[in-house]
Amino acid sequence: MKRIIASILLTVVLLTGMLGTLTGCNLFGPNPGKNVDFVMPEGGFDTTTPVTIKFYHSMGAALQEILNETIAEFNKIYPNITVEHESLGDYDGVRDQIKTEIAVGGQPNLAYCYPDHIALYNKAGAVQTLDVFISDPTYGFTQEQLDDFIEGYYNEGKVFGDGKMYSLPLSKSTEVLYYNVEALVAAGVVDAEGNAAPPTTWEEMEDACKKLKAHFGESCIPLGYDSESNWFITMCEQYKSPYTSATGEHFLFDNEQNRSFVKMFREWYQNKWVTTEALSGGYTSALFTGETSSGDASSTRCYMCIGSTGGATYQQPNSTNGKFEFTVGIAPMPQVDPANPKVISQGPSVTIFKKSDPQEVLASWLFAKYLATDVSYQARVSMSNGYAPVIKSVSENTIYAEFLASASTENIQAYAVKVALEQEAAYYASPAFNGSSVAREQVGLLLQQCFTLEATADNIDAKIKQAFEECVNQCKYQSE
Amino acid sequence: MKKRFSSLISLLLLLCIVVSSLASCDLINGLINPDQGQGQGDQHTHVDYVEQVKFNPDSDTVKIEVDIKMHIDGDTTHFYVPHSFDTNGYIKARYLAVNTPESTGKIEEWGKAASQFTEEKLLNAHSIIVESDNDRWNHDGNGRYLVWVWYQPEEGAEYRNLNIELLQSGLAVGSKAGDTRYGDIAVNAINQAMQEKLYIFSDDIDPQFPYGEAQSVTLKELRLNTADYNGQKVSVEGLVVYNSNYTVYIEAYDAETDMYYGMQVFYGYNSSLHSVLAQGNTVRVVGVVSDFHGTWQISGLYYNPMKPEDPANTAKLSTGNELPFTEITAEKFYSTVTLTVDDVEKTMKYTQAAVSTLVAMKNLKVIDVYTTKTGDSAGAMTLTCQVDGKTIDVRTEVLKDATGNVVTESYFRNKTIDVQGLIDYFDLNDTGNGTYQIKVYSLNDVTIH
Repeated sequence: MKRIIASILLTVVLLTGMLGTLTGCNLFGPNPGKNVDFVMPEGGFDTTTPVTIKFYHSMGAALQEILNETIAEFNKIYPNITVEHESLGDYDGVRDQIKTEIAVGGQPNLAYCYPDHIALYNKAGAVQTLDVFISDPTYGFTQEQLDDFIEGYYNEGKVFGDGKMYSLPLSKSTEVLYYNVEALVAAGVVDAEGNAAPPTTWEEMEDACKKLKAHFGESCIPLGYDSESNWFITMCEQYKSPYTSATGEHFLFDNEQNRSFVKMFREWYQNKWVTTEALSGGYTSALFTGETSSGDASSTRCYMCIGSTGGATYQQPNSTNGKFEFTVGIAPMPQVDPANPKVISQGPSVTIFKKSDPQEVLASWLFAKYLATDVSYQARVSMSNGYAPVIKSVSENTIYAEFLASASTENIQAYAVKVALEQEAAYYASPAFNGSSVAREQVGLLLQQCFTLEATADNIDAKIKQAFEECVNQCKYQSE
Repeated sequence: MKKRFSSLISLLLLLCIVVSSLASCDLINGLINPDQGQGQGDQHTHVDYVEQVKFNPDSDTVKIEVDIKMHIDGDTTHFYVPHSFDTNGYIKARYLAVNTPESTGKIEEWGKAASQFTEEKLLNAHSIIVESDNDRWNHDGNGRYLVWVWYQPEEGAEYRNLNIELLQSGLAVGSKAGDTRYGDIAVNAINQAMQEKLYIFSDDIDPQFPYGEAQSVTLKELRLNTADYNGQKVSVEGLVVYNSNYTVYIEAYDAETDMYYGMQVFYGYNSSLHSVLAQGNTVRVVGVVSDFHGTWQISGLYYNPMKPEDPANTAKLSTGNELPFTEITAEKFYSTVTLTVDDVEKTMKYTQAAVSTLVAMKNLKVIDVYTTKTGDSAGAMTLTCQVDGKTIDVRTEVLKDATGNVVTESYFRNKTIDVQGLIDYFDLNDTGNGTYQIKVYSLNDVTIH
């Protein structure tokens, strides 16, 4: 009798364990949040049954207005798909909310994302790879659509070390060199015809800084560069020097080349040729436009500024009735090797989360694809916020072409987008893994630290080396 | 004995298998993490996170007691501080961890509600303290102090954290909330507000947000009845007479009253609109009427560049129009006017009716000059002038001469000048009892005798 009871108990327990393991515990019915790999449903997308998808983003009012109108257009094609969307403040807000919801399988269907976020979400295996959709003969991209993507933006979706696609680009920004045309001419930073000649290499930038400093004196810090992190990472790319890796040993940036360029720019900082947002206590665009200046000659001013195309309007000087205090020029940022340019690309992509209902996942793909490939949506977003569209065909739209043609100090957003599109072959994307956002933050702090190190000519190399080592250790520690 | 021991071991092993299987199950997750995202239909107990976060005067953060200088919106306030703390005598404070919907330049759902919430809490507070996130004051890219705002509702009461209260109320979304001193509580408060579907996270209609189509009105109607249109979406047409840093002034002539009527329009940071709203263009402006510190304006413009012919769109209608300066005397400036609007007579100050329109005035004798020393307007001047026995204030932007040098007081002091500019309303401390002045934007607007 005892043996029989024990056997029955054993059987029940074994079955429970098997079921729980296989289904992730569906004791109380279907769990829509669980991370199930997509399988194309038989019959494809059901256009008759209503399906609701949830989209998290960080759009402000103007972009949400555009999004709502775009959803209305999307619904003309797919009337059974209801798109509910929610703005969660900023990218970190989106990430933090999803991180919480993933823990209980309550994540949305799609979300704004950066590659670092995807690496985080994939710790729970929550992100749906897109290759199965992209290659689908009915719902995927045509070759023409694939060719229409700006390659550097598109490739950001597969930087995770496994060659799979995890996101589609939505709207992108980059860094460009803003410069004060009149100031460069006055300081002799000119070409043979006497026109302002923005530097194209870092050697030319050094020369330009010297001339501007000599002409405008102590109140001049020739160059402002807001993002220390971007600067460090971009220089690694330009020097073809290791930064990070998605596989194996992650943090590879402690090497002689990188220490060398940091030392060089440290000297620039010490010479007061350059400042950054953190070191100057605010956006360097304010020093460029003179916004923080009291108007007298002693106020600190920058005459060149490397900043985001998404923040172009902040680089625009005061104006009265169309007359600006100075003319702004925009050029690609300087390069180590102009024949092999590298510039960062930023801005949101969209990722899709796994769900147990394949119709939800397919509906999410259809919507993400629409946002990424609809010319009107891409054009309107670009004209609203100065970010670049992710597909080339937008430039052929008549109204958008007029927008680009209006590039000037007056329409500085158009100017920034125009330069961004002209450097599309230069975009790079850094590897994304659990710890890549830590690396990004830490190398920015590293640059600040090295610029302000108290050191002599004898010990500066050793101090920089130590700072790099500590930075790598910090990255490893924070990534555990 | 051996058999019993084997059975016991087997049972223990099986128990381990069952527990590890169930650990992948929401049942266990829910027990371990009760605060995290309970699904619809789950029992929810409201947690007062504001009560949980306590003000610690002895923590390693920096703190200072402040008074309100100017309320801006839900997550930004200007506070008075000692000059020893900041030479401007005040700080612009941006609230840490929160992002409330816009209610000034752009208009977003629940923006006004959030703004009113913050204003009400602080105006009625017995004491306000701002606190940094670590051991030093930090600033955002715009130079604003990043702070936690603590307020004491009444004397002797515990200080309450307004940032957390905004999140808990559903009137703000997070802004790098998780990376802050009170990050855990902030994130929990946000999650709870989402779960409870409060305000921003609800499907409710915001009674103060202008849904629907814009009302087409004349500038005269709008100027003489602006309060009736507060918060409403309107479509108006007029001539752009001034454009300065994303703010334009439009005016239109009314033959019936033989007057021009104007309105300030703020078009935010969209440089595509520069060419649409250029000086000398007649335009149609579609946006929301709002009160910006005592000055009525239209903001939150609707502009779809892909549909330039859409009558519901902000658009350029013509270009190259002459600017109409109405020459007035000091007597006219201080006069009252009686205007009939829709068979209703309204008597008001001339300046109140003509605010934001172009005027010209001659022979003003400058008897005093005040230069703003600090803040955003440092270098701008107020010229106190006498003309025909009356005092007229002329307010300048920061003026520069042909060589780019800033013009200072000595340029104007004791001179007789002719000016052309906008009638402008000035209310330093938002008292509602401001004054009118003539605003000039460039040195070309002033002729010295």
